[in-house]
Amino acid sequence: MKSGPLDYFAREAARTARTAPWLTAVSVLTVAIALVLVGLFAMVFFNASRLIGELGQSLSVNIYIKDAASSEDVAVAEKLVRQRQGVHDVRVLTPDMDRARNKALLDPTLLEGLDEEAIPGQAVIEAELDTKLQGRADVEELVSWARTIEAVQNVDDVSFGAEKLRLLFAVVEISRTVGTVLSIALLAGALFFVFSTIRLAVYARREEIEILRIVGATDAFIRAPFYIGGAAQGLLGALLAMAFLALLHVELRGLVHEVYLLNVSWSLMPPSMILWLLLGGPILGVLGSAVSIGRYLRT
Amino acid sequence: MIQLYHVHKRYPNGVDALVDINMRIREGEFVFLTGPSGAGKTTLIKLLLVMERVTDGQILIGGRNVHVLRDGSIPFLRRNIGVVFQDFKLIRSRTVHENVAVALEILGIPRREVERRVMAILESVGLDNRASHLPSDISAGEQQRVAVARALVNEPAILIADEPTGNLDADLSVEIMGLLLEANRKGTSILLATHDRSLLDRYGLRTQTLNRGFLVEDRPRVDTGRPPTGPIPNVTGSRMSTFSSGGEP
Repeated sequence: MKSGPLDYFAREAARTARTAPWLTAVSVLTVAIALVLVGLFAMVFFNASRLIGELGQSLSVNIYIKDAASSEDVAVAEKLVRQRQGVHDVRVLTPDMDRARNKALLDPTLLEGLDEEAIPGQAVIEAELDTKLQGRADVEELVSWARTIEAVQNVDDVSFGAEKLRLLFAVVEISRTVGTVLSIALLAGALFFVFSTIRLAVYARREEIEILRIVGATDAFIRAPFYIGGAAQGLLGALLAMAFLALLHVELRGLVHEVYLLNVSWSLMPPSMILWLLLGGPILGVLGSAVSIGRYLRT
Repeated sequence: MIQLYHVHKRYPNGVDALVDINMRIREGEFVFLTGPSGAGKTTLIKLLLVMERVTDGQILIGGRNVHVLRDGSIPFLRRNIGVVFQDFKLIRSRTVHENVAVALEILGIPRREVERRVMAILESVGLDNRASHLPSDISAGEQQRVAVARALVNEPAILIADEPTGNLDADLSVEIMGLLLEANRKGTSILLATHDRSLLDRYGLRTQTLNRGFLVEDRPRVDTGRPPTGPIPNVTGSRMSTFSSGGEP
C-alpha cells in the first residue's frame, strides 16, 4: 500500500500541473530544448576530445641530423630520445639508409641516368611515442622536449606535427568555452522558465497554501508537491531530449561509418553523458521549484 | 488550556489592537469572545494561532509558551488547534472529502486510516453523502459543516472559531453550534469569537468581551435551562498532544 504523504504529494503535483497545462507543457519543452542543445555541445566536445586523444595516442617523431654531425652527436640525441617514457621502436638511419629508402619510394624510370648523390638522404632518428594528449599543455610539454633535443649539437630539426596538434587543441578548447557559456545560458533560461511556471502555480494556489498552513502543514509538506512537480517536468523534458539525441546518435553513427567510412571505436554518446542529461532535467526542475516556493513561503 | 498574561499587540502602523489582556480558558471549557468590530477578537485569534506574534506579554497553550516558539514548531502547535472561520476557508479545487482529509494527511496518517476517519466525521456532521462534491456545489451551511469537520477530524484539544455563524442564517447557526457543543461535550476546549448577541443570550456560556483592545468583561456561564453545554465531567488529563519541532512531514 502506498504511504499517505507520498500518495498525497503525487496527487498534488499532478493537480499543480493541471492548474496550468499549457504552461507546464511549454516548461517541459523548454527543458527538453535546453538539454538537447547542451547534449549536442557535449557530444561535439566529447567526440572532438576523443578524436584528438586517438590521434595523439601514438606519434611518430623524426629527429633530423645535420651532415656535419659526428657519431657522438647522434648518440647524444638518441640517448635523449630513449630516455623519454613511452618512446619505442627507435631507429637510427644513416644518410645512405635514408637515401636508399627514398630511392625505393621513387619510380625506377625517374632514376634512370640520375646520379645517386642527387637523391636526398639525411641522417635521422625515428621513434614512436605513446602519449596521452589531453590538452594544449601536453602539446607544449612535447614541444619543450623537442627543443631539448634540437639543442643538441648538429641536430637539424625535430618533427612530430606540433602545429597541427596545436590547431586541433585550439579548436577544441574554443568550442568547449563557447559551448560551456552557451550551455550555462541555456540552462539558466530553462531554470527561469521552470521557476516562472511553478511561481504561477504557487500564485494560483496561494489561498490553498494559506489554509494548509493554518491546519498545521509544515513548509516541507507544502513544498514537496511543488518539488515533485518540478522534478517530473524536468524528467519529462530530459526524456524528450534523450529521445531526440538518441535518434540523432543513430543517424550520426550511420553517417560516420557508412558515408565517411570512419571506423570509430567508441560510442558517440557515452553512458555518463546520458546519465548527466537524465539527472539534469530533474535537477533543473527541483531548483526552479525550490527557488519559487521558497520565495513565496518566506514572504 | 489557554492562558494569556498581560498580552499586548501593537501593529507596525502603531495601532494597539490588544492592551494588557489577561485571560484563562480551562480544559474542556466553551468560551465566547465577543465585542464590536475592531475590538481585537480576530487579532487575539491570530495570536493564538501564531499567525501574529505578541508585542509584549505571554501566551501559554497547553502549558507551552508560544511567544518563544520557533517558526518551525508553529505547525506542530496548530495541529492541536482546530480552526473554523466565517468564510469557511475551504480549498475550492478539492472535494469535501479532500478538504477534511488534508488535516490528517499533513500528519502522515496512512490513506486507509484517513479514509475511515474522514467518512466517520462527515457522517457525524451529516455530510457523508456530499463527500465527492466541491465546496461550490454545496450550501453555505454545508460548507461550514465541512470546515467544522476538518477542524475536528484529528481530535484537537482546542477549537477556535472566528465568527463561524457570521455568514449563516439563524437555523444554520444553531446547527453549527450544535456540532461545536457536541465537540465540547466530548472534551474539546472551544473559544468562539462572535458579535452575534442572540447567540450569546441563547447559550449563556462564559463570555469574554473585548472593546478597543481591552478586555472589559468576563461574564461567567449562566444556566439557561437548555441542554448541557459544558464538558463531560470525567474528562481527565490533557488532550493536548506533545508537539515537537520537526521530523514530521
